[in-house]
Amino acid sequence: MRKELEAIVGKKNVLDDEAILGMYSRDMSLHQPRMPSFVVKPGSAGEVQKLVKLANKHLVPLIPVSSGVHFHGETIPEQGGIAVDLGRMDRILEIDSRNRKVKIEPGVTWGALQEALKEHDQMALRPLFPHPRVSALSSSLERYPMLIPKYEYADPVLTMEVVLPHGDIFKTGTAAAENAQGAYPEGPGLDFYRFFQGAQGTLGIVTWLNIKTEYLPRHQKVFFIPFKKIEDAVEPIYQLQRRHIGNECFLLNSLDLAMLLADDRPKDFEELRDALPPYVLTVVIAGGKRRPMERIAYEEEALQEIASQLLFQPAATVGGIAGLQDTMLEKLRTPQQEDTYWKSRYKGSTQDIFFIAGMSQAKDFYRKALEVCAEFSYPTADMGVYLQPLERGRGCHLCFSFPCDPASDTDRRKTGDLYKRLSKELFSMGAFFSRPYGPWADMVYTGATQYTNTLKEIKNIFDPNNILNPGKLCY
Amino acid sequence: MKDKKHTRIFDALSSILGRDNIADDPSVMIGYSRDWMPEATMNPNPPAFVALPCCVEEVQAIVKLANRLKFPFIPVGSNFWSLNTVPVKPYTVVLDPKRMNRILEINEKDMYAVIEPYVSHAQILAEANKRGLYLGAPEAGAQASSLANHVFQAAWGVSHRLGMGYRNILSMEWVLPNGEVLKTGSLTAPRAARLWGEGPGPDLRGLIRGSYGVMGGFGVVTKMTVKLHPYPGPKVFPCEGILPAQRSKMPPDRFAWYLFTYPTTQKAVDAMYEICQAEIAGNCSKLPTSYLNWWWAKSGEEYWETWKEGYWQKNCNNMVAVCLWGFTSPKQLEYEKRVLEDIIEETGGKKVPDEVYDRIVTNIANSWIRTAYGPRVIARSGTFMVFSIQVDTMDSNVKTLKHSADFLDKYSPPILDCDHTDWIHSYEMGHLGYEEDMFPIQKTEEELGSLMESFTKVMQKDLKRKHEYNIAPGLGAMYHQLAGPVFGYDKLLKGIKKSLDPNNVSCPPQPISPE
Amino acid sequence: MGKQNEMVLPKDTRYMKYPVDEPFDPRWTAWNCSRCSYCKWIDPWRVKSWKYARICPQNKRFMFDAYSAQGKCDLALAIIDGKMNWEDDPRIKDILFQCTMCGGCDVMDKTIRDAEVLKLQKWMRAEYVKKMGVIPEHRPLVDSVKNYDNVWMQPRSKRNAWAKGMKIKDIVKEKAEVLLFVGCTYGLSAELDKTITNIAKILKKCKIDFGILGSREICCGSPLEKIGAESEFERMATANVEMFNKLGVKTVLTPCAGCYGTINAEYDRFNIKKDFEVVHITELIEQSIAEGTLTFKKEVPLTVTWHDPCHLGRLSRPYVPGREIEGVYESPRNILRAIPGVQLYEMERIKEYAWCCGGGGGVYTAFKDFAQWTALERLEEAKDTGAQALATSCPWCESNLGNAIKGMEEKIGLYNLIDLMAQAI
Repeated sequence: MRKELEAIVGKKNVLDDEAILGMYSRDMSLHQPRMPSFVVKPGSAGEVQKLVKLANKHLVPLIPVSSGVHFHGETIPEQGGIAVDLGRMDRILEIDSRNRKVKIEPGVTWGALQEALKEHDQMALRPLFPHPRVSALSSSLERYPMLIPKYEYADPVLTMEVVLPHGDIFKTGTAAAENAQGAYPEGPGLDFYRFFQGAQGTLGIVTWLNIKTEYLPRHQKVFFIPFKKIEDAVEPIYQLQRRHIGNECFLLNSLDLAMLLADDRPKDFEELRDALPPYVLTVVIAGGKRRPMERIAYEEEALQEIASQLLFQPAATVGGIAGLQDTMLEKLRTPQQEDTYWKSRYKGSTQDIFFIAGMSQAKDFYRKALEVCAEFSYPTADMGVYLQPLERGRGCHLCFSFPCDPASDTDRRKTGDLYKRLSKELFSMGAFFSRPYGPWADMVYTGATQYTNTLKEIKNIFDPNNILNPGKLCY
Repeated sequence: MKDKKHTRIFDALSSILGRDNIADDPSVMIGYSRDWMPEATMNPNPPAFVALPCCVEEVQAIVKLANRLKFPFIPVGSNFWSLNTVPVKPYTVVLDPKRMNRILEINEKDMYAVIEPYVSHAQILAEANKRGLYLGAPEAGAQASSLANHVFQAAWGVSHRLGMGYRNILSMEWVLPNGEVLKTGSLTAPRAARLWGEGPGPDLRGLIRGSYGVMGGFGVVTKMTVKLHPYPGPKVFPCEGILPAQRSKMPPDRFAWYLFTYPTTQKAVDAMYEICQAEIAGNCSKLPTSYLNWWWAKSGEEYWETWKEGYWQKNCNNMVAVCLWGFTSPKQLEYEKRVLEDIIEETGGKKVPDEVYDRIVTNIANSWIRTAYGPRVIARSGTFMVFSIQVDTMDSNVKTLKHSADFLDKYSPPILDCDHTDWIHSYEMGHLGYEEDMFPIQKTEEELGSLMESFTKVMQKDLKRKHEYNIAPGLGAMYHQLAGPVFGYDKLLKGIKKSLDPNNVSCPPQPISPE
Repeated sequence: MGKQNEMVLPKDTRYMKYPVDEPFDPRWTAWNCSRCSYCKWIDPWRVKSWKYARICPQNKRFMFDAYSAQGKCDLALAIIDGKMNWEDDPRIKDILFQCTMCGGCDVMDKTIRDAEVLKLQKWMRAEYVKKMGVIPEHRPLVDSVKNYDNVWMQPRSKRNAWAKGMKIKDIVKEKAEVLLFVGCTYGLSAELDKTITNIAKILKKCKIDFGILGSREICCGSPLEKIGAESEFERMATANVEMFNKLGVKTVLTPCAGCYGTINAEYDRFNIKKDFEVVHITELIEQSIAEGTLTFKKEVPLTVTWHDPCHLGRLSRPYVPGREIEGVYESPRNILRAIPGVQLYEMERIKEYAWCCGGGGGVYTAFKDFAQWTALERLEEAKDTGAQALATSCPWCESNLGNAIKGMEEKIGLYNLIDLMAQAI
């Protein structure tokens, strides 16, 4: 096997050192570590294609890995196999600022993407301060929620090139046609692109992806709106979104916000957490490409109108923090330099439970979280809360974070039990786990019999030998 | 021919639906014997039965029966300009959803509606507008079934913001051809709100669409949750006058139309790019003169006399139509006006004369918010055809139209009233462009047959070059048989068809013959 | 060969100018149906709610597409092309005759193309009747007109009865400016005596010089035209026009919407030149109010919604391609607005896109269930306006709606406009 792998990717790109295999056997989640037998690092779609054919020949699982860090167990091999690290494929293939799209390979991080797009006055639609080594491609495919909910869609995915599990290279949408520029995701045939989204690499290995970009604002004004309770923020968010106000719009509780801000002030984390209001809604009002200040002016006026009706106070800062607007803008617009994840800085790691819900349900889910925390004696003051409105407030991505010490078995066990228990409770209350990682997969797919059966049929057609990341989802 | 199998099927369907909700009378069947395809127009072919199911349970029972007794079924929506809804096999049942006509829920806060198949776009639009919300409606007309339109094409006048129909689908309930009921999105979670469409995990909405959906080949969608969007317009669509001469004016503090022309299509598109990059407007399209005349003229005489005098050609060549919407406030509208004026000036746009402006805005323009009089296109010559529809970038659209122009120039018998009969829309704020060229032809066997022959030759040539124009998938199985091997999806599609529809009962041979 | 910028015109010049004066071509009308489904819905610009979006009672009730103008186009094509015969399928009778011939489909179709899809349906009925005979349910209507010159099987002499003692001119014996053409229903139905008496009184009050034909009046032929008894209809139409012309009548005034629409719009089919104009009572009353010859002294505190009778509205004018579907829409509304105390609420489907009462097309006589079903939808729509009462000015509408109200739990008031107005005089 090694020789065959080396023949495809080159000797130096085939790794089986125990320490290296160990790195791919685990991630930041509490998922049981499992070792791959090799790590390979292809440099092109052609090499990926050969790897896939080889895997079929030998019936060896392949686990596609794009990011340098993972949080949900999605790349831990369930049944052994070969980790296919696509990190060498890290080119930004095309920036099309006229049509506002960018074509990226799997190894492109958000930071690299941000920097490259800046030159063209463009920005990508980022999730919430991702780890610097997270792949923009895989997080787009995995439907990480965007910070900017003002568009009528929740995902910026356009077309892609994918190596199918039987080894063919397939292009989705108008990327397949020679007479087009690869903007339109539908077809050819079916909307195959949808199958590769949320798939955790089980139905194909995407070797490049076109995603939407938007104009990078040169002028913006950041508002911070404090709230005592999560439910107090819901109506303001509904109204802001309904009236098309703002670009970025996200709600963090004091813990999450303190963790985010505390990288500059690590000693001040506790002080920050105490100084900050329980919840802060960050709203960025941005000027457009033309007459930017005029746009900021009318949106700000509308914001103030809603504020006076609903009695909330948009301000330039909260918690008395100086320069908060600039700090936030820097975090939003500039790639993070340190190789750490802001959520991990408190205790070393964090376990996130996230799902989709209606915003009006947020308070019920929150109360349930508090209840289960109490059951497991998890200090509620340590629980992070992130509410991301989606699609103009149609729904929200709601995330409860549970920092824990990865070096402490007790902490890991307790957090793990809490995680499983709370996930089940939330699911039974109506939380929709649209991205069923790890233990959520069983929870979600057991009740959705026909969806599961149909997914399995699709999997059987695409990947009859079940070589791509077997054991994930319902496979 | 009513043989034993026919009687057996009829009796079983009667038992499922009740006698009043199933028919096999020839005079009823004849009403379902044609669709918009030239073949079925020339040679209508009635089904054997028409069934009126009322709910997912009845649909499921029919589909299971179809698998047991081996007869095909064809699900239709409003059956308005349907494609591939005429039977190709005996004992075919058309499933007419008229009893499934409810709006089951409208959630104003979370902005979605749950609809059954026989709810028209106009109905859901009217209910949405009352609540300060909107969605799109196809240019063909808002009397189309909203659900069916969503799984088919859904190219809307308001797609400048909303995009194509695939963007608007949330969760679904759908009877697969094997008789199982599939729920997608948040419907898979027992108590989750209906407001989300993706997943869980890989998104099976991919099964129900492609460029033109699967033409009923993968079963029957019985409920769909659709997105609604914030709308600054009035609760009731403003309309006055008497048909066919009705007029509409949107409130001027929240809506403003701009109509301006350019010397070339490319220059018009360049201006549209500027508009999109400035992130303004609710509608943004380049419209052709012939379409304006189709929508505006109230009679054949008016159409042809106006066309002969060159009214539209003189005033509206390469015209960009933009409607600004003040979502946030009237001040947004004022801001966007200033931005648009800047763009028009910079790009050398020329506003149409006031009289032309009034004619368009009062009589036609708001069609692209509520409905357009698509069927008027048919009326002026008997029928129309489309050479190409392409969704990609607006620059791609311009190139594609050159290809269309070549075809139209060479085609014989001649295309009527040759003008460059195409439009280009901005979709999703200019991330995408949509072009379509419709041209009137006469509804004769000679013209339709000859056109299809030429069109098929061009399509085959284009496929060899791996060129795709999106209209061709509207031909359904006929296209997928040819294009599948070219683009590499034939085995996948056949595999899925065989898997979901082992007895090949769901609208065969759509979307591809499994053989 | 077509080239860019070269104008090429249709070979079939009917697309360029609809031959409204030429003999009707049913095949062309059927052939050019594109299956756009406009005939089933009200115009999308007009839809204000999910509930009231449909125009075609037949299609809404029976649901199969055959029960629609589109379905009948398909059927007509099959019959004309010899693929089907009238006698092949007993359901053809149902499809053709369980239809109120309200013209809703026709208006919507005319929004899209130059066509007369209602005329096609009338042609189909006439052809069916020629082949299969008048349907049994309609036989009494035809016999009644043959034997009594009215549809109610009443002796001719009874037409005079309501006018006894009112000193109204007999227009055969004494010239008058205006012929009050009473119509069969107002003239012979005892229940409507009050209304026609009120009309006569109002005309006198307005000093209108009018006369009646009394027992010489014959049916306008409307019911016969609707049920496909074309030859009978032609006989009545010809006789009427000849009589009016002979009498030198210049204005035919009628209170009946059916008579109004038929005389005004349908008589032209037989190329008999009318030397008179046709006026509906509401038009005359509106004019009188405007001129000050009719004034209201009393208040009638009532919220009212107006039901547009099909024959007073969309079916009341001959077809001119591209022209607005004109009708007597504003006159009754202006009258209602002029009555002190009355507040007018509008239904969602009004004027040229109003929902039918269910009483037309021979349905009232032959298919009572369907007639009632259609009426109930209209009454529901009326109640949804919040109005206390529904007003109309057509005896068929009144009868059908009135019958339906009887069966309702929560009723709504029903008025003939004349009777309502009379309360204020």
